[in-house]
Amino acid sequence: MKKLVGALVALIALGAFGSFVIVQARHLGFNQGYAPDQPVAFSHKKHAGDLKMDCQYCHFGADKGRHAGVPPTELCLNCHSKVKTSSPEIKKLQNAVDSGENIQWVKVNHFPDFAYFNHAQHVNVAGVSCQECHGDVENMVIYEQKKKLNMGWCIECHRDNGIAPPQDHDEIVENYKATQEGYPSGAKLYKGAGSGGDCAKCHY
Amino acid sequence: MSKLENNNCGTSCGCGTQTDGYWQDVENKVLDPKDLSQEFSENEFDSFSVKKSRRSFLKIMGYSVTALPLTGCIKIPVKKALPYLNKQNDVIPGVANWYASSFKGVPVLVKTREGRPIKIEGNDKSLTTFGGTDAQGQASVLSLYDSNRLRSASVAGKDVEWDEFDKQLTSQLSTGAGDIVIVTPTVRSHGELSVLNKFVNKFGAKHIAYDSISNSAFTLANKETMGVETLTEYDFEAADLVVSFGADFLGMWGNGISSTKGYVARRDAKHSMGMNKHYQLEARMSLTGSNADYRFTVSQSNQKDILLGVLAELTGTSHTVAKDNTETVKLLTKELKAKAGKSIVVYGDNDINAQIVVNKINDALNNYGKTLFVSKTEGEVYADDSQFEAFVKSLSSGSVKAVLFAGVNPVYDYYNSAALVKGLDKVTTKVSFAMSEDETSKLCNFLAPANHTYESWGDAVVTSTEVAITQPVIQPLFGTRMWTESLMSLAGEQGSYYDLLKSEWTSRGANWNNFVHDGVLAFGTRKSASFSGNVATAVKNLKASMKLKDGMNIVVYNKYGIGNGDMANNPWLQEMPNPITKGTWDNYAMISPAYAKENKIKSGDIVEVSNGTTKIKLPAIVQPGTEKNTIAVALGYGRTVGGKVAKNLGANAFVFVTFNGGFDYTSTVGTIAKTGAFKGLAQTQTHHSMEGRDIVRETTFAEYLKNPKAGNQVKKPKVVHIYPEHKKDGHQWAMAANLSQCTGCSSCIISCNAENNVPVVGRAEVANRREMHWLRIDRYYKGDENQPEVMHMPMLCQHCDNAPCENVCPVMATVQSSDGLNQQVYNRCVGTRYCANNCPYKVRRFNWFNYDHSDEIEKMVINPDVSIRTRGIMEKCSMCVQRIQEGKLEAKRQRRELKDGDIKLACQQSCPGEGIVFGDMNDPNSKISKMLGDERNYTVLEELNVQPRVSYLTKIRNK
Repeated sequence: MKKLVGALVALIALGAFGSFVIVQARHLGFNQGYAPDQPVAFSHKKHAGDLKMDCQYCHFGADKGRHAGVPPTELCLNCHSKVKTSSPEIKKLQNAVDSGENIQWVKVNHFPDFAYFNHAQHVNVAGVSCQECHGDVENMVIYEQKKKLNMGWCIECHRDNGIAPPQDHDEIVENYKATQEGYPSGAKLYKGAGSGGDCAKCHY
Repeated sequence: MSKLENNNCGTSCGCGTQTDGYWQDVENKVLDPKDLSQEFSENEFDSFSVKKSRRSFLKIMGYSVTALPLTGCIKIPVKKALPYLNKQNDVIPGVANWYASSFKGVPVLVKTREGRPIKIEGNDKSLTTFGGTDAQGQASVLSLYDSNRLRSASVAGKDVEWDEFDKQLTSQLSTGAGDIVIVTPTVRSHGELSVLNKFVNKFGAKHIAYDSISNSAFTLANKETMGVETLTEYDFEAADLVVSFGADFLGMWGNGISSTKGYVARRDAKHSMGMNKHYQLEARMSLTGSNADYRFTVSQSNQKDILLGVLAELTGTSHTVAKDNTETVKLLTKELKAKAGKSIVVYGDNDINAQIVVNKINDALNNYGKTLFVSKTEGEVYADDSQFEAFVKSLSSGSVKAVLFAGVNPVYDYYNSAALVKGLDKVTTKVSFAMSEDETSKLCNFLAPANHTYESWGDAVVTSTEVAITQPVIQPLFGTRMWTESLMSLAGEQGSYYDLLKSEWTSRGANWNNFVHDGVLAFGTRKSASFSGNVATAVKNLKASMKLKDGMNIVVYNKYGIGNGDMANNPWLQEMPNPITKGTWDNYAMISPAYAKENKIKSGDIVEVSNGTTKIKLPAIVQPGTEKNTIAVALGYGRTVGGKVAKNLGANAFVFVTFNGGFDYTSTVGTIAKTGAFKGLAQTQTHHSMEGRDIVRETTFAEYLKNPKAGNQVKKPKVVHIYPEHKKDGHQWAMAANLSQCTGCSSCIISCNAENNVPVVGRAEVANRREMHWLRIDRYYKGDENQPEVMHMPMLCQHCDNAPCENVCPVMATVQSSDGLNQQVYNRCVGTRYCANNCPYKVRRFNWFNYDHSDEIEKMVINPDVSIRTRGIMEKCSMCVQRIQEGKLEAKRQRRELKDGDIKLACQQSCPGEGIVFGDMNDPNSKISKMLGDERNYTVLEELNVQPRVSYLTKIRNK
C-alpha cells in the first residue's frame, strides 16, 4: 500500500512537473505584461490620451515602412524646447541633443529576427488601428506589452479577418472593399488565395 | 568528341554509355577518393568539449530537461532602442533610399538602408548599360566595408591629421630640386582631369597614366590611323557579323556591359535585323569564345597570320598565309565581304601593329560610322606604356624627387617590379592615395588614403555621348579623404571638389540637380573619324613578331571579375566560380587536354611556369579549348599585401608581361614543368556531362527558322498525378531564362549573394562541395575537346509544383506557397538534409557551419530584410520573396494593382543580357506568359513530372 501511494505520488509529481515544463516551454520568449522603466519618464497617457496627439506624429514610419520608429530626440524638442523646459525629464532630452549622447530607451516589443513584419502593410493598407496590437496605449503611463505578439496570435487575427486560410480570395476582396475607401471600383487588391497563411509571407 | 575510353559519364556504374557527344570532366574521372576522406574534419566539434559517451549524453539530456522550465521564468535580456538624435527628412527606418552613382565608369544605383549602402543595381536611365552591371560592380559594395582599409593619413608610419599632412607634404613638394611625377590610371573624367591639371600647374609636375592591363595599343593605333587618341566604341547591335581575334568583349575587354547588351540583343532570334553571327579565334577559352557560333582554337601567332591574310584578301597587300590557315582566311573573308558595313572585327591583344591592321580591315569593310565610332571627349587621358617605362628608367638617375601614386599599384602589377622598387629608393617623397595598404603604399612615406567610390564625388565618361556622376552615399567610414580633394588641397585650391565638379558641369550647361538625380547625362556627340595612314610598316612589324621562339607560349589574361587584382580582397569575387573553369579562390596554369595527356599533367598538379628568368608555381588546370602550345595564366593574383582575403592567393602572373613598345601580354615564351606536388582545385563543377539527358536544349538558327520548335520537339512524357493539383488562382509566379541570351557572365551570382546575405565559405569548403550560392551557372561542353561548344545554364531552385523536397521533409520546413513558390522556412528547419538529397537539381544549400558575420564593418552590408541563416539550416533560392512582398506592398500602398515589371528579382535586375524574366503567369499580357507560350520553352528533367516554375528557352546558334 505504502509503495502504491509512493508510486502514485511520484507519478503525479512527474506529471505535474511534465505539464509545467510543457506549458512553460510553449511560452518561451513570450513577454506579455512586460513594462520596464524607461530612462525618461515619458507617459503615453499624457501625450496620446490627454493631449490626443496622433500616434504617427512620433511614430512616423508606421504608415510608410517596416518600422513604426522610435521618435528622434529632436522631434520631442519640437514642442519641448518651449513646453516644460525646466522639468528634469525634459532636460534629459535637451542634454542628449546637446551632448550627442543619445537616450537609450528600453525595447519593449521584441520581434524575432527570422520573422518579417511590416507596419505599413497593417496601418496603411489594412487600416488596422494601433490599439489592435499595442493595447490601450492612450491609457498607459508606462508602456506595457499588452498582447502576446507571438505567431499564434498573428494567425488568429488573420484568420478572424479572412486573410489566412481557410477563407478564400473572394471573401478577402469583399472584406477589403467594405473597409477601405479610395479604391478604383472593381479593382482587386488581393489576388492571392488566402495567401496570408503562407510561411514565406513572414519568414524569409 | 574526346578520345575517351570506357564509361563516358565518369560515374562508377560501369554502364559505358556514350551519349550524344556531351562529355564529362577532362580526365574522365570523378572525385579523388582522398578528397572525400577529408570530408569530415576530426576537430569539427572542438568547441563541444564533452567526452562523447552514453553516460555524458544522458547527463546532458537530463540537465537540459530540468533546465527547460527555468528558462520560462527568465525574461529575455533587456535590449535598447536607440532613435536618431536628429533624423534626416528623407530617411525612414525600414525604407530603402536609392541614389545614382557610378563605379568604374558604369552608372549604378545604390540602395541604402538607414544610410548604409547594401546593394548595387544598374542604372536603367543609362543609354549605354540600360541597367546592366557586371560582377565587379555588384561586388563593389562589399569593398566599401573592407575592414582592411586605411583609417587615417600618415607620414613615415605615424598617423597625422590632414592639416598637418598637407603642410608637411606641401613643403616637401615645394622645396628642393627634382621632378614631381603623379601616376594615375587612364583618366576618363572631366573633374579628375581638371584637378590633375591644377596640381600639375602648381608644382610643374608631370602626369603619367599607367594601366597595368593596358589599352595603349588601341588608343595609339587610333591616334595614328584615325587621328584621335581614344578607344573605339562599338555598336554590337548594328553588327550582323562579329569576328573577334582573342578579344573577350563580353568579359573584361572594353565596355563589357554595353557590348553584352548590344551583342545579346542580336542573339534574339526574333530581332528585327535577324540574328548576328560570331566567329571567335583564340588561344584560350574565354567567356566570349564560349558564346561564339564558330570558335577556332588558334595560337597567338596564327591569329596574326590569319589577320594579315584577311587584310591581304580585302585590300590586296601581299601576305602568304600558312597552309593550315588558308581555309579560315577564305571563310572569314567571304563572310566579311558579304557583311561590309555591318560587321565588327576586333583584336584582343595590346599590339599596336595588329590594331592598325584591324583598323584598316574595318575601314576596308566600311564599318566606321556604322558599327565602329572613334570620337573623343575632352575628359580623357590615356595611358601610354612607354611613358611609364621611361619614368621607371628615369628613377635610377635620381632626378625625380617626388612620386604620387593615385589608384595604381605598380609595385605589384608592373612586370619589372624590382627595377621600380630599386628606383623608388632614390625618391625622397613617395605618396600613395591607396584605399588600403598595398604593395606600392608599403614603400611610400606619405599615405593619403582615399575614400571608396561610394564615399566620393566624381564624374566619369561612359561613352562619347554619356557621362555619369559619382555621388557619395555614405559619410567616409574612416578618416580618409577623396584623392581629388587631397590634390586640390596640395595645389592650394580653395573650396571643395564638390564645388569644382558642380561648377564644371553647370558651366557646360548641365542642370546639376537633374544630373545628380538621374546619375547620367547625355553629353557630347558621336563623331566618326576616317582612316588615313599607311599599314605597310604595321604589316611588316606584325609579320616580324609572328614567329616566336620555340617553347610554350605563356599568355596572361584579364580574368573576369578579378581584373588587375585591385579588388582581390573582395571575397564575393574570389568565390564567384569562373564562368569557364568554374574555379574559385585561385589562378592556375591553363593547358590543353592534348598537352596534358602528352605530358601526364592533370588538373591540380602544381606546375612551375617559367620564362627563363622568373618562375611561378601554381596548379595546372586542363581546359578544353586551349591551344596546344599555350599556357594561359590569369592576372590579379599573388598579392603579397592587401588584406587577409587577397594575400597569398595564387601567383603573380604580371612577371610574364613584356615591353615591346607597349605592354605585351601574349608573346612570352617559356616552359612548364611538373613539380610533383598536388593541390586540389576548388571548382564548383567538375562534372561536365548531361548524362544523355537533354538538360540544355539547342538548335541552329536555320533550323529555328524552319521550325520554331526545333530542338524542343521532345515528346511530353505521359504523367499520372498522385497528389491533387495545386489551385492556381491569384498571382502565380514563374521565371524563365533564355539560354540564347545567357553569356555565363555570373553577375547574377554576385547580385544574389548581396541581396540574400549568402555567406562566403572559403576555398576549403568550396573544394568540399559546400559552396552556398543560391544560383549557379552550369557549363557543359560538347564536341571536340580542342574546339568544344560551350553551353551556359543558370540553375537555381526550380520552385516545382510537385516538389520532391517537400514530401520528404519531416518537419514541413519546405512547403508550396499559394502563389507557387517553394518556400524554405528556416525557423522550422532541423537540418535533416533529406530535401537536398531528394532534389533532382541539386540547388539546396546546407549551412555546415555558422559562417562568419562577426566583422563589425563588413556586416553593414547585410540586407536587413533577409534572415541570417545559422548552422544546421537548409537554404536555397527564395525567388527573392522579400522583393515580391515589397512590390506587392508598394502597389497596395498606391491603391493599384501590381503591374508586370513591378517586381524584379536580383538576378534578373543585374543581367546585362536581359536573359532572365520573372512575373505572374496568370497575367496573359505579362512577359513571362509570352515566354511560357514560346515554342522554345521547356523545363529541365520534365520526365520527373516535378513541374518546375522555372523554365528555359532553347539555345540557338547561328550556324
